[in-house]
Amino acid sequence: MTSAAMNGSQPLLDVQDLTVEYRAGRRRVTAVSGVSLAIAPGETLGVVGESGSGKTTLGRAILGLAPVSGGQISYDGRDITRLRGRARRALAADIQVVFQDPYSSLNPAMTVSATLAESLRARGALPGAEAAQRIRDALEQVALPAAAASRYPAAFSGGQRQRLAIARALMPGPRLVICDEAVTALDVSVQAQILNLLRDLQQRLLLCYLFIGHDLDVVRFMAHRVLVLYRGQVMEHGPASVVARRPRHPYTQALLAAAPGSGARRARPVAPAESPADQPGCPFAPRCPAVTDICRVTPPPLVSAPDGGEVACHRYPELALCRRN
Amino acid sequence: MRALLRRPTGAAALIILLLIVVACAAAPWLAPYHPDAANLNDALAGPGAAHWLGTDELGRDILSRLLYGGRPALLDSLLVVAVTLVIGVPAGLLAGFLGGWADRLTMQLVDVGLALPAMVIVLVVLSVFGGKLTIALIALGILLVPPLVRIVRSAALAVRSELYVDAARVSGVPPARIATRHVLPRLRGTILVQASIVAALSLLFTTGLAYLGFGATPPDPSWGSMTAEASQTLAQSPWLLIASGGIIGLTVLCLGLLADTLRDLTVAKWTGDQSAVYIPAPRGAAKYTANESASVGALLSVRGLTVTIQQNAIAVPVVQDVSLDIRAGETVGLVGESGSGKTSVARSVIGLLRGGARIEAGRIVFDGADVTGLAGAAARRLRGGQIAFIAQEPMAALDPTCRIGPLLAQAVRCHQQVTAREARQQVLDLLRQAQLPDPERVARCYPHQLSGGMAQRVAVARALAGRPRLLIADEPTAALDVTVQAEIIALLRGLQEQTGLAILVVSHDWGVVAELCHRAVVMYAGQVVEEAPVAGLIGAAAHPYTRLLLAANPAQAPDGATGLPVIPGTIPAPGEWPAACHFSPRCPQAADACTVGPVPLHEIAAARRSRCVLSATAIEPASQP
Repeated sequence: MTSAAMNGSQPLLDVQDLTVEYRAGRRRVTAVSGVSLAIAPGETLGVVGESGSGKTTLGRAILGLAPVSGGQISYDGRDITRLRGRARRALAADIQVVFQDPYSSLNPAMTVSATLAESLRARGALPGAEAAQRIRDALEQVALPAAAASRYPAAFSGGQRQRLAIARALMPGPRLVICDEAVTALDVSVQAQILNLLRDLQQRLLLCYLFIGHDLDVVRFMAHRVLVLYRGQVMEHGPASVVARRPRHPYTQALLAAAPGSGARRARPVAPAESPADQPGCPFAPRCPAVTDICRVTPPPLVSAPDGGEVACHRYPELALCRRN
Repeated sequence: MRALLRRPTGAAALIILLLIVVACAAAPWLAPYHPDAANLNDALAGPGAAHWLGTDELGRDILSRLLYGGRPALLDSLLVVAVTLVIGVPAGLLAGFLGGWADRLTMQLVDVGLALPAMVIVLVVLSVFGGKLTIALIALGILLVPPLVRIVRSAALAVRSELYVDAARVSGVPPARIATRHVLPRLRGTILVQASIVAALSLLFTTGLAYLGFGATPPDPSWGSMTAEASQTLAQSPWLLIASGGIIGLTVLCLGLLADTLRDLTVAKWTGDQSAVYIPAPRGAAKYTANESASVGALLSVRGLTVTIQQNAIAVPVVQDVSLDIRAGETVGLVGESGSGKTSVARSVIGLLRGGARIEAGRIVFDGADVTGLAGAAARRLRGGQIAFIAQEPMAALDPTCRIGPLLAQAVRCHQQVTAREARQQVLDLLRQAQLPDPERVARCYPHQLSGGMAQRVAVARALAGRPRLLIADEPTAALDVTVQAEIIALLRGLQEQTGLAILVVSHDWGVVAELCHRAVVMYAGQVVEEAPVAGLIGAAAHPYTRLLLAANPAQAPDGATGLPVIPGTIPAPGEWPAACHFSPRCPQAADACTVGPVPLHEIAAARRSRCVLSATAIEPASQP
């Protein structure tokens, strides 16, 4: 993806044609298939999809936690696709993560300061006093009292734990933070606090986010651009306001219409979501209300759309025309 | 250490073990006789003033021999435990943590090791090395490694998939350090318990060896050889076996108890729950306030419900004076964030309060009958019959070992006297009613073969088995994808239209409430703060909390917004609620009047109530629909 939204600057993260396969017994399951994306410095790219869409696997592949079977991941112009060992660990100073579950993402047997100090390792050894100062700073950044450092994670609520997870991610001074459903497990009012915190930190520290989520509204609020995944493939991507307000792809339209509280739930494609994953054509064809013969045979290419980004749908030109009239 | 001494069993075990160890170590000073001092005149004497534990067949003092004999017994077990742990823990950790070929190789070796007959091998080793016990004990230690490796490996596997291990990887922590800092500490409890089992096994093993004539050379005493000698004079003096076997049994028992207590303590430190004791809810202890009358025409009427939990022996309210009504055919949403008490209200209605929570006051009237604190058979008839319940996690609510058909048939036959054939037919009808495609196939499936949406439909079908009149749905769509969510909501609405079912939806999701409910009851910190028809609530909430909660939803944020409106602070924990308005410390509109005393629920319009001193003026006329 060579995006117009880059303003010509070199992307910090550039993913080309990424494919991730898992082995499930004898079978090979493709979790991510030919996904390309780029994130410019200071930008947030949202990734939206339902369970099984491959959005979490995409994040894990970039973090080096999932096996990449094809394609390339470049960070700051450097190929990091298959970095291992010491070289990969050195990247920890640049690429960090905030996971969904604030309960299992913190080691219950370690105090907060031990957890935070550990994530400093990628930056090399620091004298004790300086490390302690960094821990105080990180806690202050996420609006937690300095006294939190000596306590165990069990003493904190879900929202506070997510603040701790963010503090841990910030410790080594990263430039890219992958937020994998970082607010999904939180209550609405806590979610708003954490979202504001993430936005605020982005401005202050010039962070890049890959913001993975299933809630279109949350991703729209956070992201500049949004990428929609279905069964490991990109359905469409483009400016957040376009994808979340006037989606071009029938799948995104279905997502938007199904969101509770979106008023009348018109034209829901309620075909059951089970169908063979390795069918030839468009992965959404079995559930698509606008399906035609070609959709079941030929995978649709990503074509650029006039209102920004790209759409992978055979019927996009006609549907767009219908909508305009 | 101090925590250990507070637990009576652990403290007792520790003290007895210490006494045994110290006494054995100090045997030369403590023992009243020389262990080998024979006195045939006193042979086989029972316990008495001269010999506290009696004498053996050569008239030697049993107590002295036990004290002297403890040293080799304890040192031998220590050696075996050390050998087993030194080999077994790293091997299990590597296999579980690294996986792949290291795991496969280790497990192959473990399988071979498990097939070896330990006693035979130890005897072979003894005969090859000319009866050298130390080498035999090392061999025994190695032979006890395989079971330990298996257990440590499976525990390490479970910890390896924890997110914090991934987070450590992302932080650039080298694998060896992850294994020792993040995985190993979590295995401490398992390893402690296994070490105590190995110690016990080796004590028994050395006893067995001594019985066969290996071990301490006579006349040197050891617990094992003493047991062997005692068994030879069993007919004349059974007491000998009690004394020598008793000390072995006591040591093994204390080791086990101590390890169990230590494991509990290591876990307690992380869970922050020192008093994880289940307090059963006392029955029939609820005090009902008689002056609250159930409203006429309501199917379910909750009046003045107060639920408390025990915290440090003090009853702390988690639900305070909650009243609500549901009519037949009506859907009411109970909305609130975690800690608001909404789930406790729902669970009170079906009598399934958890964690020592109990109904302190109030009445629950279902169809004209008081069902407050109902227990036993009457409660079971009501639950799943007249009142059905759907849980949040559809998968977790279905027994994974049971096919859907028999699972539902069981539910049908709980409430109706029908034959197996009729039950099967009803199951298919129920599945059809829950709009599952191909009911015959679904009935033959196990839960893991279903998708999340299908599992929730099965849960709905099961709830319908008792022909309920009230369905309580606890976050019925929270675990589902949005497109599946929409399907379940449509299903529940359809069912209500067909059967006139009343539904109580517990949810934190305004979208679901707006979509599904007629009326919403908003809870904050144990109290109802607002109650209104959904249509009137979404656009024009009266209570500041409801308004802020609605505004915090990112769906309300315009494009390009830089921040969401937030409620400062956090919801107070039970026991920390202010006496006055519970929301006042966080409320941007809080005035002096808000902190004077408890705020009652005001009737602010027809069918609308709000617990706010400002609510009379708070509804902005402009935003009225």
